Amino acid sequence: MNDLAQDPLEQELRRLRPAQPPTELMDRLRATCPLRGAAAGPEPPRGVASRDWMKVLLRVLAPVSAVAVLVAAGMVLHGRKPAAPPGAEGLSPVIADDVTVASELVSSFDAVAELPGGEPVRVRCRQWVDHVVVRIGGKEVTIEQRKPRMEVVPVRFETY
Amino acid sequence: MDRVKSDGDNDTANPMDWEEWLAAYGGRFLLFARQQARCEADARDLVQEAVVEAWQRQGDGRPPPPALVFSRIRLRAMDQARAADRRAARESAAAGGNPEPWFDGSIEERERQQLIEDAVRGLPSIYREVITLKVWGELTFEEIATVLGIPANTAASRYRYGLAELRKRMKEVVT
Repeated sequence: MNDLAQDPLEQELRRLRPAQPPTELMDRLRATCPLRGAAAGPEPPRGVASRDWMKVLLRVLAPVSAVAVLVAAGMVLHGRKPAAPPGAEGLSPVIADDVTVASELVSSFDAVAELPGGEPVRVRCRQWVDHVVVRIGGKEVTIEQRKPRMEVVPVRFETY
Repeated sequence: MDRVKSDGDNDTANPMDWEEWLAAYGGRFLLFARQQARCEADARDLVQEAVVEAWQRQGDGRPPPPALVFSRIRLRAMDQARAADRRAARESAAAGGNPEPWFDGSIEERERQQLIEDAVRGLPSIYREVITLKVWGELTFEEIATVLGIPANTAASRYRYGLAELRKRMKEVVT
């Protein structure tokens, strides 16, 4: 498209020069443009630069963190060694000649509960006290767990 | 007005390119931004943000095409206006007008210059922005159409109607 031929008013308008930006704005523009010959580009305002940096960091860290969590979970689930009790570091494991486990029933009772769907279910609760005797080279070591162990077993209602 | 060549050559960026570019176009960008912004501080922010965005879009370290900067100024101004709606108090404080003169000129020309400036300020914005981009931004109608998101024919007709309106307003003041 051909631009319009200039009329006197248009010529007069063109003779007007837009006011030069104040020094403060020119300084800001110089600070953001590659005036020092940096072909890599202008330095954006500090706030913008830090936001961009954070975005890049998050973009990198998010998948790396996810992978690290998965790897750690896999190591815990598949390759975990039982933690040594405090003070047992450096001790060699003991091989027992015989281990006897005796359990004493302390109490037993039944209870009825409801599943989330409303279906009734009966559970049998038992409390046990365990006695563990370990024999090593003619010596006996007795381990007794006096704290009752609760065992809860769901029992199906009989239907006819 | 001399127009600085800002694109089309293969030279890498050097400091003088940017200095010359800023000296040549800084005032034009600010003139357009002043018409789009609600206050002088916003206008200066618009220019800075638009220059940075346009440079980043350009991507090769050279000064971007002026049309791109004008376009970013306009888009940024629209965002700014939406944000300004949420801060009505500040907006009302700035509604008193923009006291900064739009043009430089000698003392002898000051009266005539003020007459033209007042007439331009009073134009409907659809005419004023086309005249500003055409006369002081030195864009083609195709470039103006891209900046404003309108057909080139519409840009040309707005320019024609805008000049007529400007002429009419100036005659009314003089007579």
